[in-house]
Amino acid sequence: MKMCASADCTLTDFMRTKPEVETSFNRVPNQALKCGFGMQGVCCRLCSNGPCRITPQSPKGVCGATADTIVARNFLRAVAAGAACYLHIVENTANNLREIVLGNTGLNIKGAEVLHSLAGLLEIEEKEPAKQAVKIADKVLADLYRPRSQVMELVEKLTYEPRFKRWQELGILPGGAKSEVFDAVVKTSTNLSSDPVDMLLHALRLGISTGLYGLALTNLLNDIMLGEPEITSARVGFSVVDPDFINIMVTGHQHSMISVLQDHLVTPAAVSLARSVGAKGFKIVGCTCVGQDLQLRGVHYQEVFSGHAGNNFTSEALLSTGGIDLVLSEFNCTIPGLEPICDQFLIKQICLDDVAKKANAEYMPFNIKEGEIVAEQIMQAAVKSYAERRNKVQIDIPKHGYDDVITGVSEKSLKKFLGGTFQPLIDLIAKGAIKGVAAVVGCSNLTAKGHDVFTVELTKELIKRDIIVLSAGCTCGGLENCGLMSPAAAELAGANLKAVCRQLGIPPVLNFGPCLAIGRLEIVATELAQALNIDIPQLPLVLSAPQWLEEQALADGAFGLALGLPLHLAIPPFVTGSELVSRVLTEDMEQLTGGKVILEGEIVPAAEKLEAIIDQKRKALGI
Amino acid sequence: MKRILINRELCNGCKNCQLACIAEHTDTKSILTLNMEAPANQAREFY
Repeated sequence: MKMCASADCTLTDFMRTKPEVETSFNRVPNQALKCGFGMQGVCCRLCSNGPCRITPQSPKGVCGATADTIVARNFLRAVAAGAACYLHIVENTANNLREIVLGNTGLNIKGAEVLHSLAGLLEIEEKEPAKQAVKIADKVLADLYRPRSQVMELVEKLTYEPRFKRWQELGILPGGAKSEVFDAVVKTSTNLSSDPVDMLLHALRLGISTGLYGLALTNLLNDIMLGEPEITSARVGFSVVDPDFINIMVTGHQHSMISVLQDHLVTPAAVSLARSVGAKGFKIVGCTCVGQDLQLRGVHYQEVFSGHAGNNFTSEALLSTGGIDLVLSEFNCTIPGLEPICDQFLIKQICLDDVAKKANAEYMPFNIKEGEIVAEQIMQAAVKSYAERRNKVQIDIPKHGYDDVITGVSEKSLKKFLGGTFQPLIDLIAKGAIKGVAAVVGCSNLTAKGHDVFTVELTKELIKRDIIVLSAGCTCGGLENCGLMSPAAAELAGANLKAVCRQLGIPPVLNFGPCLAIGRLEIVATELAQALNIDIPQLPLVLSAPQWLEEQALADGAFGLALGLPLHLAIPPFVTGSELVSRVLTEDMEQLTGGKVILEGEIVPAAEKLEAIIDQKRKALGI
Repeated sequence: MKRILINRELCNGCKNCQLACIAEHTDTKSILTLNMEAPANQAREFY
C-alpha cells in the first residue's frame, strides 16, 4: 500500500509491517490531487445558487460576491470555529475548577502557588484559596458569556500594556468571547458582510480571545487543579506501552477531565482489580495534546502515566501495536480513522464529551461532580476490554522513541531553571550565543513534505543557525520522537547554541507540551519584552506553524498576528485566491499589529527568511 | 470509446473529470445522482 513520508522512519517502518491496517498515511496518495478552488479559498456554497467558484472568466459569484469577500468569509468562519474549540475547553476547565474548590468532587487543587499569583494578577480581593479560585472561575466564565458590546474584563489584566494599547487603538479588543464567535458566524452567512478588512479584524479579535482565554487561562486553571509543570526527563514513543498493564490511550485537550481517572487508577482497589485479570495495573498512554499536557505535569503522575507515545497522526499506528485496551477521548485530535482500527484490534472506545463523539464509541457524559463514577465505569470497561481481547490480538510493540526527553518546560519552570529570572536568556541573546528564538508550534499534517517532515527539518535548520526553538503542540510529539528534544540534539545545533546547550545540559528545542502551551510562550514573550522595556514585535522572536492542520491552528495564528509576531506557514490558509486578503495578511498587517504571515513551502528558504527577520530585529535593538 | 485526455500541467485538481467519467458509466449519466461511496463507481483514469 502506498504511504506518505514521515520524519519518524521507525514509525513508517513499523506501519509497513502492518499492511492490513489502513491509516491516514495510506489515504494521502488518494487525496493528493487537491481542488484548486478549495486551495485558494474561492469556492462559496453559502446558498443554493452555488457552489460558485471564482475564475478570471467568472470573477463574481451569482450574488456578486468577489474573491475578496468569499476568501475573507471562509477564513473568518474557520478562525471562528477554531476559537470556539478553544473556548469550549476553557469553559469546561473553569467549570471543573469551580466544582473542585467548592468541594463537590472529592478532589483537591495541586497548584496553590499559581492560584495565589493568578488571583493577584486578576486583582481578586478574597484571601481564602477556595474563594479565590471560585472568583477566578466566575470571572473567566463571566467574560466568556458577556455580550459582544462589552469588552472582556480580564483582557487588560492579562495583556502587556503596549499591546493592549495597540489593540485598543485598532478597535480589536474582544467583547464576550462566545458572542464574538457567534457574530462571526452571523457576519459570514449568506449576503451579510462583504467587507474583507472588517472580517480580518474580526479574526484578530477572535485570536485575542483564543490566546488569552482558550490558551493562557486554560493552562493556568489546569496548573491550579493539576499541578504546575516541573522540568524533568521522560520516555516517549511506542516503547512507553507496557503490555503487562491495562493500557488506556487518551486523546484530546481537556486534561482536567482525565485527572479524576488518573487518581482513580492508582488506588489499591484498582490495582487489585487489574491483577484479578492478570495485569500488573493500569497505565495511561499519552497521545495528541492531552498526552503532551500529562507529560508536562508528569512529575505529579509518575505512577499512572506511562509516557507520551506520539501526535495526532501517530495515533492510528499506536493502536495497531495491539497494546492499547481502551481509547478515551474528550476532544480533538481524535481522528475518525481510529475507529476501524479499534474495531480491528477489539479496542473499546469511550468519549467523555459529545463534541468529540465517535460513531462507534460509548458516550459517557463527563460531569466532574460525578467524576468518580465515570472513572469507575471507564476502569471497569478497560478491564473488560483487556480480558476479552488480549488472547485474541497480537501485540507487537516496536522499539521506538527516546528515554531522555526533557519535558515540563513552562513560563515558570524555565525561569526557575534560569535562576528565577529571564536575564540569563536575555544576556545569551544579547551577546549572540543565542541568535534569537523561534516558536515552532501547532499541529502535524501529512502534506507539508510528509508527517512532521517540515517541522523537524525546519527545526534542524533553525538550531543550526543558533536559533533556539520553543515548541508547543503536536509539533512536540514529532520533534521528541525524532530526538530533537533530547540533550544529544545539541550536536545538531550551531557552535554557539551547542555550547549553551552543553553547558546547561538542555536540548536546543524546548518542549512546552500541548498546543494550549502556545499561551505559555506568549507569557515568556511578554516577560522578555517587559524586561527589555520594548513591545513584543521588537523581540528577535519568530513564530512558525509549519504544519498547521486545523481551524484551531488558524485561531492560534490570529493570536500570533495580534501579538505582532511574524508567522510562518508552509501551507497557505486557503486565502491566496484573494489578492487583497493575501496582501493584508502578508504585508499590511505589519502596519497594524507588527505581525505578518510568511508563506514559504520550502524548508531552507523558510529558515533563511525567519533568520533574516531575527537579524533585522537584532539590528533594530542594536545587538 | 470516448476518452478524457488530461493535461497534468493544466489540472487544478477539481476532480470533475473523474465525476464525468463515472457518470458516463452509470445508467442515469448524471453527476447529481452519483453514489460517491459505491466502490463500483470508479473513474477509468490512466495517467
